[in-house]
Formats: sequence, C-alpha cells, structure tokens
Amino acid sequence: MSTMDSIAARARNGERLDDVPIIDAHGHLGRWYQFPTHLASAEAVLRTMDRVGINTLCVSGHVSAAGVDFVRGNDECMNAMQQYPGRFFAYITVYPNHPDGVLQEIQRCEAGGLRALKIHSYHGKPYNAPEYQPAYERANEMGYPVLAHTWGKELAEIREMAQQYPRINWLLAHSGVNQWDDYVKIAKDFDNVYLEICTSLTGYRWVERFIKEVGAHKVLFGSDVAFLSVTQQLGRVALANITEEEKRQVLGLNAKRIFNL
Amino acid sequence: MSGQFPGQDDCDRLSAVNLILNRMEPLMALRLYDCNAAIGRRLNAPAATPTSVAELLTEMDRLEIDSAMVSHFSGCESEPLLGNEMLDNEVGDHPRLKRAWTALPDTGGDMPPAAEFVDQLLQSGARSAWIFPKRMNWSLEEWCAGSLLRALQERRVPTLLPFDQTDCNELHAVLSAYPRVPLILTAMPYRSNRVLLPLLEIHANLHVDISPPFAVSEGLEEICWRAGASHLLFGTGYPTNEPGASITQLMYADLSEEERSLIAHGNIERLLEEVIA
Repeated sequence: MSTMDSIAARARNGERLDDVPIIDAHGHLGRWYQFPTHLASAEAVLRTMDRVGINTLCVSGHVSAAGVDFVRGNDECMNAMQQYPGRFFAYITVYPNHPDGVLQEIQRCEAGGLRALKIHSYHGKPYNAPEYQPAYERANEMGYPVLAHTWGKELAEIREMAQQYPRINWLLAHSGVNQWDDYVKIAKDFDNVYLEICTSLTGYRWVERFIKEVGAHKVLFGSDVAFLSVTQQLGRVALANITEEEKRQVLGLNAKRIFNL
Repeated sequence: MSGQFPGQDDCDRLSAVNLILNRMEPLMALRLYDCNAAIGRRLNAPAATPTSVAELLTEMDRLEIDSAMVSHFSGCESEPLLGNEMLDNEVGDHPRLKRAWTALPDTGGDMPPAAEFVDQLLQSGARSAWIFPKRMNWSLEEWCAGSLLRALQERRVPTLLPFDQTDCNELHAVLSAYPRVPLILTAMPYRSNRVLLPLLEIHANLHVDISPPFAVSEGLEEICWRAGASHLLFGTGYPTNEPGASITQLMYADLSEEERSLIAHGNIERLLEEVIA
C-alpha cells in the first residue's frame, strides 16, 4: 500500500498535476552558446509545461541573463508573455554595464507589462555596485521582486541590498549550491529574502531542510529551464519528504503571492 | 491547459476527480532499478546524510524503487579493498540490492592481477565495478589500464565511470579498443551534449546514468532520438542527490512506454544478465 500523498503518487507515475498550482520562478527562453537546447522557443517550453501541469513560467532571456544582448532577451520574454497570457511572466534583465540605459530599459519593458527584475553576476558587477542602484530604486518604489543569480559568494552583497531596499522581495537563485548554511541565515534574517532552489546537483533533502529551517513560505520552486530540466527539478519538491500543503506552497502559492499573479 | 491560474473552485473540482480516479483500480507503478546508489560515510557530507543499508531500503520503499546497484563510499574515498569488504559485509546477498565494487589496475603492485581481481568480484556476488582513474592516479591508456579493461570486457562487467574521471578523447579511445565493456557514464554534466551525443551514436557499449547533474532539458528524449533508449539507465545518485529528481525526469519525459521501461529497469537488467559470472 503506497504511503505517498496525492502529489507524490502522481509525480512518481508521471501524471499531470492539474489541480496543483505550479509557478516555476526561474526559467529562460532562447538559445545560448554553451549547449544546444530544444526548448529555446516559448512553444517548445509550453509543450513540456503542459505535459507536467505547470501553469506559469517566469522567464528571462538566455542572451540577456547570461549574455550581453539584454534588449533582445527582454523582447523575447515580453513577446512570450504577450502571446501566451498567464503562461509566461517575464523578468526585465538589468544589464549594469550599460548604466545610462538601465532605467530606460526598465521603462521600455514596463510599457510592455513587465514588473520584476533579473540580475546575474555573469555581468561582472557586484550586486551592491552603483550601476544597479537606479534599478533597485525603481523596484523598491514599485514593489518588484528581483531574482538574483547566486553561487554563495554574492550573499553579503544581497544582505546589504535587502536592508537598503526593504520593499523588494529578493529571490536567491540556486539556493544551497554553496555555503548552504549562509542561505538559511540570510532567509531567516530578512523577511524579504526567499530561497529559489534550482541546481543541477539536487542535494539530498535540501528542500526538506530548507523548509525545516526557514519555513515553507520562504522557499520557491524554480527549474532554470532550459539550462536545466524542469521535469527533473520538479521531483525535488513533488517527491520530497514534506507535507502536501508545503509542496503546494513551494510549487506555486508562494510565487503567486510574491509576483501578485 | 488553461492560461488562467486555477482558482479554488477549479482545484476542488479537480481534487474530486482525482479522488474518484484514485479509488479506481490502481495503476501498476513502473518498476525502477537504480544503477547508482551508495552507502557508507562520505567525506564532507552534510550531517544526517544516510549511510546504512536500512536507510537506503527505507528511501527505496518511500519512492517505490524496486532494486538498486549499490557501492560503498569507502571504496572511492578511503581504500578500495576495504570499501569492497565493507560493501560485501553490509549488503550481503540482499534480494533487492546488487553490489558494485571499486576496481583499479594492478600496476601499483597493491592489487591482485586484474583477471584474478575481476574473478574475485564476481565470486563475491558483486556484478558491477566503479572506476576512478583520475582520483586514484592511474590512466585509462592501454599501457596502464589494458589488463583491467580486458578482464572487465571478458566477463562483461558493467563498469561505472564518472565523467570527470576521463575526457571525451580518452573515452572514445577506450570504447573503440574495448567495444564489449558495458561502460556506464555517471555524473554527466548537463552542458556535455555536443560531445556526448556523437559518442553515443558511435559506441553501442556506452551508457549514461541519468543521475544528477545530468539535468539536460529534454535530454532523455534527445538521446533516445539520436542513439536509442538502450543507452540510458535510471540512476539517482542517492544519497548525494535527491532521488525524486531522477524519477520525475524519467516519468515526465516524452517517451514511448517501451523506451521508458528500458530506461527504468530493462537496460540494466539486460546488462546484469549478460555478465559472465
């Protein structure tokens, strides 16, 4: 007799999770130079989302988030959001090496309906650099969430910014990948800091431990699709040894609240 | 699927449907055979990381994983012969577990001759071997690994090799020289498809364990399309990784049921049947 809850039982057998609100807080559209992907287009990702039962994917462009073509990447995501309402929620990638254009690009994307920011340390600037400040000021004013790529070392910068900009909800991408305890500490210290969980190495019981330490309300499902496999990342939550209510919070309800969807 | 976020009414209705469905005849869960599980203490593992056979079996029960090929961390992080002995003692001939020894060549004078060692492995009841050339400071070149690779090939021993212990050119050379060693790549990085896919197309004896970090988007589908489902093995990387990740990666993949079944258990069972004990 199976002891699995209804989410786990269906995930174990690859059945669609239709009644579970699922928002993937971390995804990308487009191609990138480091590897081939067949999920570059909105239509291709939608097929996978529908196979699993994912309602909404929050996206930034590969070429903007991890590359230099921020206008192109932002446009790809804005177009997907406009073409498939409710299925994509687009981040505005902030490119700090073009400081004169930061606010201008945010305003351009706001006109297209975007209301969240993505920042990435690949762009070479610490997250407390002056070039980012106009973007944070705008996000703080408007209550936009900011998804920040992190690999552990950026947490001190985020800590400073989370204090300075309390109306921003800071989502820490790849939480736990390094300095696991530091992620727990910052999420405990700041009400406006959340742990987004995608990592290719799917650390054993990370999700359970995060929930035990900081509470299910502070943990968000993200996949990093198409960098990573959304079907793989989903199992870290759907089959985790946590309650069904905690799974629902992590898989979608927290993001619904944070993104006001 | 609707573009709208489901409201509570939708969720209640769908829950009711699921309740009805769940009361119908339960579907038979696809049998899962994990090719990559481990026991023992590990260097730098987080506190409370499971170490025992009992904990492994509990997790397999929780996730409905039927069988596993299991190695011992002491074999790769402490001393291979000690690790193999501990593995034999702790796992024994458990009906759901098949032991995977750690192997290395006899070039250092601290191991039995390769053919004798592989014979010992099989006599013990183990049915597969892990190799760590870089970590244990030996080479996969013929002059160093030839006797071991010949012995593994003669007895068709499934041989697990973490990708960071080799490189694609060396791998191509080994697979070309020893086409009947059932080689299983583990710990495949998710950015490796530009070298992995051609290797799989060339070498029928190359297999990939889907354990993390093999997190390629639609990666199983791509390998099935390019090289065939016979190359893929379900693995979890327990207890380094969360086993649920590999389960959903396989179960939600856009595959035929025949392909899924081969990956879930059929391929590893075939490889184990082909071992010349």
